[in-house]
Amino acid sequence: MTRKHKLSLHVDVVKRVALLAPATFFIALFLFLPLSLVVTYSFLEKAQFGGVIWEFSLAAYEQLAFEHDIFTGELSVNLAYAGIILRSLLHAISATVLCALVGVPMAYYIATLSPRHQSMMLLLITVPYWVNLLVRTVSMLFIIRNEGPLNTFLIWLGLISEPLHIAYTNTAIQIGLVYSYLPFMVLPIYAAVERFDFRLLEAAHDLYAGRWTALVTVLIPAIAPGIVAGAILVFIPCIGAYIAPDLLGGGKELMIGNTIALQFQSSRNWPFGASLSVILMSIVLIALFLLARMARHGKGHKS
Amino acid sequence: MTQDSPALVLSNVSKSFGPVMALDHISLEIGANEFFTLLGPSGCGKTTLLRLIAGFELANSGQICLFGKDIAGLPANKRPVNTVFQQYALFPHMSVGENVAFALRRLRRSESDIKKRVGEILETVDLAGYQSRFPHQLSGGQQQRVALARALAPAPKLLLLDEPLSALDLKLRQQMRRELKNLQHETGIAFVFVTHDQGEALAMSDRIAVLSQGELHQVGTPKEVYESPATRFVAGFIGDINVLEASVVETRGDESICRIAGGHIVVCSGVAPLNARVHIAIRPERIKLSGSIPLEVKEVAYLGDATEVTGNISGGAELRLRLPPGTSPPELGATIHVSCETRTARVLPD
Repeated sequence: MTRKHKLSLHVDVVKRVALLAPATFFIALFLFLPLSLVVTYSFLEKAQFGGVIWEFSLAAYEQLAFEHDIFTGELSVNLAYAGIILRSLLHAISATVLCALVGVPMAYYIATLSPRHQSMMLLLITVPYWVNLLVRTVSMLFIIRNEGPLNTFLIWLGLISEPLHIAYTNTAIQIGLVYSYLPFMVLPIYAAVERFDFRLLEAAHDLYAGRWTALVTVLIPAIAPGIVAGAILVFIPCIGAYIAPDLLGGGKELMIGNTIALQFQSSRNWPFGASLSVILMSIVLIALFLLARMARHGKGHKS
Repeated sequence: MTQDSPALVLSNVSKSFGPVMALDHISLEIGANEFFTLLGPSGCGKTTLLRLIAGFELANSGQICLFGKDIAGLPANKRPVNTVFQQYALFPHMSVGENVAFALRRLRRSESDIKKRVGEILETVDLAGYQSRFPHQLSGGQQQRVALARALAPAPKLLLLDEPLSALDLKLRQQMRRELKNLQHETGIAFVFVTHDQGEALAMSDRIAVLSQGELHQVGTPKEVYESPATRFVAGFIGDINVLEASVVETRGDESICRIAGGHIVVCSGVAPLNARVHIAIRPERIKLSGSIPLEVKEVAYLGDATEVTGNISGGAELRLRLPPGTSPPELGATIHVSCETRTARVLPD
């Protein structure tokens, strides 16, 4: 009896290990290995033509904030990279906020349509994703350039007389980021609004709340988890964005993603690229932590 | 029942959704201190009527006057009327206290007023000390009380209740019936209560309005709608009833003497033209187990508080009667003799 029991327990353990093995293998191979490589590289000496020399060094982190004078070798503060990190952060935050401002009304509107129209709208939202991000970003550049359809249209309307110089500015980067990642904001918010009990708005209305008050006091708190999920999904790709700042920003306004790419390409400074990546990951982790805390707060101290 | 000035007067209120007529020229008066019930099967328009009063829907035509003021055009948040929703619709992200304070905050009452009122009203519904709980931490019955407290907190002139007891189990439902009734007495405001449960309607109401397919069939006290149904629909919907075909053989004042299938004579209340083919209605509990009408027993069902006997009278018509406990039930297939006492049956208007 007990032996049989022990045997079945043993089979259970074997089964469990066997079932977990593929997932464990994948995580080890595709998450832990590259991650530890990145972290390790950031603490190594750079080789002259790319790659690393296997010697411990903090040079890559030192370079984040200081530079050596080429001739005297004197150490001085260099805020260029801090500026790039700050700009990336601002771009990502601003794009996330803009996506939320556009995404909430959009998701609300879709969720109030008939089920048939809802699925059609959701399909339309995902349609741009059938095209490669690079191609989409190039077409956005085509739209906003000086002789592009946007400026032509605005001049035709008589709203402006000179074309707006949008291309290769921070505005262009923002347009590109919002355009690229808006669906990641809309879909989770839509899911939240779709689950929302609209009778709660009626109840708020009944209890003397006007439209706006009802939205702010009842709808927004109820769909807050969706907004937070959307914010996470938009913020993470935005802060590491590479294509939008490269193409729409014209490579003038560097973001952290471009800077990292540069280190592995022309600058041939792999450790510095790795240290920037570690910084980027830390920012993302901090942001995730903050947003998760907000989400828990928004749920009303639930459990 | 209606006292000096009515709380709510509906005149010729109609509402249609596309081609569907949800409410057809409804006129009603609800007294200032009345427990008034809108009763009918699902889809009869009772909930639509409630939503019109609350302001969630606007009537196509007609007037809705609250203490003499026409509110038909006002949005819900401008009407001094509050609703207890069917599934309560409590705000899940707010504590009980915040739920109850919601309306008071919108009305910009002072913080000390709000605190006092919330405590007071939670005390009334026996939920003192539950202020900081959240709706999902409460039982169904407690959520129901919070919904009541939330709707009563701003002291509305009229409280609307949309099938508030339907989500509760039987025991709790019966307890809440009494509590609602008491609460209505305490607050002294009119309650408009929507239900499809005729038992609930009879037990709680001062007056009942019976609706079917958007039309108002009868407005009366529970006794009136039960004992003198105005239409066949009302007779069939409220309580159990036998409806038999008959012809009028003699009329005497407000009585009609009718002959039913098999040639048996029944003296009914209600007037009808001589020789007319009419329907008469008899409650099962009013049929006596003695008399001249032979009944072949087809079915005997023990219900606990009574025994229900179904059988055929000669001529084929089916008759159901209810025997009080203690009466020994007849055998299946046996023939028993029954009778309807004078004026216990009623001629139904068509």
